[in-house]
Amino acid sequence: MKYFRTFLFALQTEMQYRANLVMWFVVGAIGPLTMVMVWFAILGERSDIGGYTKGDFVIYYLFMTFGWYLVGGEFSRQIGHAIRNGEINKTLLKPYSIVIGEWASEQAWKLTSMLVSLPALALVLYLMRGYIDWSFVPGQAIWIAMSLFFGAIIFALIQATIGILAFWVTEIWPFAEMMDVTLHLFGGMLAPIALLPQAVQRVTVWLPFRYIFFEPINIILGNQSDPMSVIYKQGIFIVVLYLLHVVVWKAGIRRYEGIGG
Amino acid sequence: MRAKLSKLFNYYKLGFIFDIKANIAYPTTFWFAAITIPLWIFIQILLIETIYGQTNNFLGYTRFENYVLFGTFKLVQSIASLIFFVRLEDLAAKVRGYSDWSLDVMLLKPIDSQIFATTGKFWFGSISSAAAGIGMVVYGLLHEPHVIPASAVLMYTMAVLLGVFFLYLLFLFIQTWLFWFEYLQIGESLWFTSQAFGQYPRRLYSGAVGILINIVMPITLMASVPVEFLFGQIPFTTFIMYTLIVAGLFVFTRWFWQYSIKKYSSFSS
Repeated sequence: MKYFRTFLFALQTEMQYRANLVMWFVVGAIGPLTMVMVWFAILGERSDIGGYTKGDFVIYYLFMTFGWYLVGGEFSRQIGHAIRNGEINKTLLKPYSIVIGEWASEQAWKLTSMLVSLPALALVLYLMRGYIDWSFVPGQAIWIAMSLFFGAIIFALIQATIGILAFWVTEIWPFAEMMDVTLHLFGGMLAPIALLPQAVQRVTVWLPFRYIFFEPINIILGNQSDPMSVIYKQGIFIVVLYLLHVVVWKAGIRRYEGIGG
Repeated sequence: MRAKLSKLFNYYKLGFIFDIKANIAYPTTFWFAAITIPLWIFIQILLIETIYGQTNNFLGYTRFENYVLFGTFKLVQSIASLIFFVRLEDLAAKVRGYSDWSLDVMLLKPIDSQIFATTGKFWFGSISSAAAGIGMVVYGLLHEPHVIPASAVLMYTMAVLLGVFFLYLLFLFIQTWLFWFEYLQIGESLWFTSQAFGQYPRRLYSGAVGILINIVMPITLMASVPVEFLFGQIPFTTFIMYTLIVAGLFVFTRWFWQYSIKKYSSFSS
């Protein structure tokens, strides 16, 4: 309930700055839009590249834009800010986690942005209807929902761990920047992993990043014949990342010296 | 006129020296930026290799020509960030009145408000990125040599500078909206993200989008246009056309700045 109140408070703040929401959607859409244009140019008269048709590319990058509000975000900087400025002090003696609080707060921004982007999503789907040949299989819905949910947890755990590095360093943004680079390199944000050079593809299997966006969208596109294996691997990464997060948090708290409150 | 230019030169010289000293005194941010920002080069190299894993010719560019293209993009982006990023990014805080000193101070000084509020501080963290961009250009040219006359190098250099100036005008235009919507938080992200259009060949954009991106807001000045000058693919007259477009944008953004600054309400003095 307390985190829900944090969420509601953040939601009120977001509603005050509605103009930003529309612009954030524009910012989020530019990268995927240019990538769709690039792949359309490469495809030319070909029907597909590595099994990806024009319609698949549209859905792929549309998900990268829209799915960011479901799975992605960026609350590591807020956690870092709270630690650096001592805002964390008042939460340490209460049954309140600053990490979950910042996560809950961010959901407000994501929810409002997602709602704002829905008309744009519908418009793109309408304009691209000639290319899209996607049929929804009801049986896949549970796998899609689970993979998105687990992908969001993996993403949140990585963000949280990056944020609490502020116990050791004053600047969090280089780590957040590296996270962005890594998601592009190994997470399929740049291009479908199946189209990347073989060496990169091999590395991605051992890292959690492909399970955040790429594998859920693979299930959505019907390219994943064994969705259960994806859920299973996501589960393993969640356990590993959670343990890592707990270890880093405990080590950070031990060395933290709070002044004031 | 000469005295004015001399004052201006001193203003930039002092800003440059001050920022170098600040970086020496507090080097952490500089080193973080110098190490992490060039990591995006890996993304661009991976994109090139992915594209050319599927085709030999991407909109008229071979693999190594594309290295020249991306390298030029990085170079223009880095120079623009070096010269213009700090002041323009900080404008939001100054307009809202929670910077170390507000815009009021800037408006009261005997110097043009646009020059003082939007230029004069330098972001050295982008130097490594510029070096990486030059490296990509050299790598591309070494692996696929072209006969490049000195005039083409000159045109390339001038087009690069034109691209840098265009990026300043674009950021200025975006940030000037702060006078109308003071809680606009999008400026920096919109500026960086819109640059994504500039890293690809001009031919990627056709129809209305092509007119917008190649002519009205010629963001392809960041890479495609300079590289086409370097390879002698477009005539000198095209450069005149782009110069006129950028000059027109300069007049427009200057007018927009001066008109919008009248909307500014001081928080304190």
